[in-house]
Amino acid sequence: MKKIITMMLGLALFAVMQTFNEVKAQEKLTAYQIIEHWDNRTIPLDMTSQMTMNMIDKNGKVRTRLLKTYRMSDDKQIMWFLKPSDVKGTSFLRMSYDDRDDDMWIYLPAFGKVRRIASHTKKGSFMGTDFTFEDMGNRKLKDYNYQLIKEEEINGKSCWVVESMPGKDVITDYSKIVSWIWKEDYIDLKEEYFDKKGNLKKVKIVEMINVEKYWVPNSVTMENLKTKHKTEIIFEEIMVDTGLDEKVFKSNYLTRIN
Amino acid sequence: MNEKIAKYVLTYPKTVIICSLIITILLASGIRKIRIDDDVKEMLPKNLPARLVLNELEDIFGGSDVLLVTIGNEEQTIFNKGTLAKIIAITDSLDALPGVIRVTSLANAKQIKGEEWGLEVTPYLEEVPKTEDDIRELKKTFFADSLFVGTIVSQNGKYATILAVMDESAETMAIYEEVRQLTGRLEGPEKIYLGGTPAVQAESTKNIKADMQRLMPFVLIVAIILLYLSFRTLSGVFLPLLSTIMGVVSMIGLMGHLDKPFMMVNNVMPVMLVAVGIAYGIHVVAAYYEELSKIQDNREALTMAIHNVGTPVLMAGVTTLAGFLSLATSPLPVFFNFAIVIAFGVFMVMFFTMTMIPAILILLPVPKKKKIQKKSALLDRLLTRVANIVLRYRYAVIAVGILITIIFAFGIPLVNLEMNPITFFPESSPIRQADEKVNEHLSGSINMNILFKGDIESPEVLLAMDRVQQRLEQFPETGSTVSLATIVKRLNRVLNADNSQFEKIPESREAVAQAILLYNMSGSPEDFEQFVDNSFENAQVIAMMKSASTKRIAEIANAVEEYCNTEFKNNIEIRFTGYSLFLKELVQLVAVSVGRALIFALAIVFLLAWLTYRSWKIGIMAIIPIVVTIVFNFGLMGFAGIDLSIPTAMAASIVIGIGVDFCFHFISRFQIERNTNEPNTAIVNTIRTVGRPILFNATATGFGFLVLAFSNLMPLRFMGLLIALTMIVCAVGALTILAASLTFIKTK
Repeated sequence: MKKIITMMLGLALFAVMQTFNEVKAQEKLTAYQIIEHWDNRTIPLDMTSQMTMNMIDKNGKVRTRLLKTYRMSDDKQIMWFLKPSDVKGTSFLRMSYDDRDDDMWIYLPAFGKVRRIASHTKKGSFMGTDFTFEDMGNRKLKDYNYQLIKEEEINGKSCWVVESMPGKDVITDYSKIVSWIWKEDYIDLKEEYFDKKGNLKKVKIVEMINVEKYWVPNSVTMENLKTKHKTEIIFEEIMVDTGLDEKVFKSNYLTRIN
Repeated sequence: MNEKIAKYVLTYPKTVIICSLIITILLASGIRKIRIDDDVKEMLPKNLPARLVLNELEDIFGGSDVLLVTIGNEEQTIFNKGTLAKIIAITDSLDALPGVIRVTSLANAKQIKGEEWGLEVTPYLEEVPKTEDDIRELKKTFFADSLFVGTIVSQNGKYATILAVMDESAETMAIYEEVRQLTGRLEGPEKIYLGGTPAVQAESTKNIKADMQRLMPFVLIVAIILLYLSFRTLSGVFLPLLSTIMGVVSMIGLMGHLDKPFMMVNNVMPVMLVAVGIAYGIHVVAAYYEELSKIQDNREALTMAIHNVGTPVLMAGVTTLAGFLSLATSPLPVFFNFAIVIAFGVFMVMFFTMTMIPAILILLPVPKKKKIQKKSALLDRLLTRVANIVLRYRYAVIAVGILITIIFAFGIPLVNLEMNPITFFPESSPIRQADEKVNEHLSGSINMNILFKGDIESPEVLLAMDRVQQRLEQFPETGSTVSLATIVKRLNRVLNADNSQFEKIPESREAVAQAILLYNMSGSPEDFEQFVDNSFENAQVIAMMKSASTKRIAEIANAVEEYCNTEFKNNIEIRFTGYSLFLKELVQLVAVSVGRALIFALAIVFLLAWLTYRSWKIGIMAIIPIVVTIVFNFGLMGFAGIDLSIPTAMAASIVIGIGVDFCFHFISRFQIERNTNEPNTAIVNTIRTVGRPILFNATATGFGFLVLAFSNLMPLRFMGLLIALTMIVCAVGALTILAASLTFIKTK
């Protein structure tokens, strides 16, 4: 009996220890594992929204653009300008792939004809904002070396702070990116981008909102510290998992304003 | 007062010496803090239009000064692996320098290319081409494209330029030195030239520093020679030299303490102070030796010497201060700083001369009896002749004076109101050669910026920009112009099947906005940063000019401005700025400043003479030689083609500061002679007695200023020559014209 009790106790202790270890293991995720989780986080199957882009200069002057966007998973995206009138009808389609550069098309009503945008232009600006295509795209996991530098809270949300350094042959505008990844959902709430001279160049701040079962960005702000210019993108009328038709993401859809 | 000074100084000589040394050391400690800064922007008053426009422009675009690194040689084109690699290396290094906002060169300029499938914006040269074929292809593409031909690569392909725009607060000197070291390592077989306003400014700062070290020994040698000729004793040479040097270091130290920028013209201050200060020392020591030949007692001789020279030295000091301080009436800080600092220097030398020299002399053993110097018989004969001529042909003397004045007056309108900083350097200097190369092969090294305010994305404003560019390019001095309009035109063409007929501003606002949007997405929004601000309210046309002549650039700007006023409606605001236009306003202010200073100086001299001699007629006579001197000075500048720069403009004021002494000296002596003699004899006696010291003083000071001919900077060379010549004219004027006019004064 005594033996059994000892064994039970031992087992219980072992179990507790195991649990502890597991908890510890989870806490002790490596930087790579964190990023892996971030890469694999659950995102909506599709999403439609209205996107307001506020471009704010150093004197606080705002230029606003309104777009309608559709996206499917994180590799297909199409959007149309609704405002202002001089770019109304301009539209953009982007298809991402795991194994090659993105395909991008643009339609400019003033010049007719759908055109492609050279896929290697990572420096190109996303719709004339402070976001480059590189900032908007997904970073390939293998391209970077990661390091967990600290843990920190942002607005009461505890985050891992991970530093990503590009590998040697990676084409990028940055020498280093520091990300604040929310522990709860593996989503980046803040990122700092360092230029090739090693100076902090841009800061991105993300605010999340819960839509159905997903955390999706509610607003994303990118500030260029050099030019003191920033872009604020606000998502409204967000709808998720509406069962969008995949054929929307075709270049012939660019010329149609829905 | 003289007695009190004498008593104190002679009773406590050691205290006086120690105090003088402490004062000097405290003041001189500021020398370490001296800030050499020849930034013309700092020279202009803050509220001047040119400065306001430039500030606004730099605020919007981060900066406007362009440093040009030009690489190449006559033997080969730059289209070879070695040179291309160097262009990439220089571009990357410049880009990495703090204070450089953006760099444009073949290594990062982008080609806007229309493709069957869309639009591509790609750098011409991202990495060194691997094969000869690639290089040939690059050359072909570049010249076919034409957007940058002549700006970043010369028409003949032999030279390439890397343009770096500086931050408005950049440490120009540090950047320049770093770039110089870098390009020094890369030079050969190609030559590398550095140009543009940052280079001009850095070179000018470097030369100011070099001049400081170079001129001082020469000045001292001239001073020692003069003192030796005067006294031929150790203390006679050493003491005036010491008090002057102490004055000079105190003065320069003060500039450091006050944190006043040390500019090109400030290099003249030590030369000036030595020239002026040595004369005071000579006065005191000479008076001492003179008394010593009569009185045996050292203390008494010194007391008498101080008593005798105190008032004349003070008088000379006051008139000199009046001359120099007249420059402080200028709205330009450079003049104001110069005036107060040199005035302080003159005061310090006077102070040391009147206190420390006697204090040292009383501690030294009494020198052996001084031989009375033999007066030069030749000079005496000459002066007697002059006196006779003045007496016999007094009308003729005055007539000749008036004639010379009238002749030189015709030269005054010819004075070139021109401040071309490139011509500040000798023709053999690297900066001049760089400028010539860039002007010959590329689009010039001095930028002019035209600020447009309005709805920049509207075709109307872009069209105006384009037309301003076309108008500008009609002038041969315009090397190239570039703006947002240039890019929009090219985009329009590329988006219209690369049809060259569409190389124009599109007609609809939509087309402009969409073309810009596409470019932003294909290239990089940073490409626009130098042309337009984020909110599309301010844009600039950057024009590279092959001339840095303020006059010519101002003419061009005026012509284009007039064109704008007649062609465009008022809803577009167009303003011109740039280094040359800046200097244009500066040189105008210099001219105004100098005019004002001269009138002020004349008024002061008139008042001083009137008060001292209690006769307004004498007051007028005292300023006659000064007027002749001023007219001669500016007339000579006009005839000889010497540009009005800050140093050359100051020459007249400096000559007056020193030359007024000649007149006062002459009139004082004349008054004394008049008490015992009839007027004609008084004139002869005056000319014969004061003629020698006046001529000696003028020659000595003139030689002192001739030292400036060894300067690295042309304006200082011209200034030295001008002062030397004008000084002689002033002295001769006092001995002839002033003398002749004084004969007309009847009894009191």
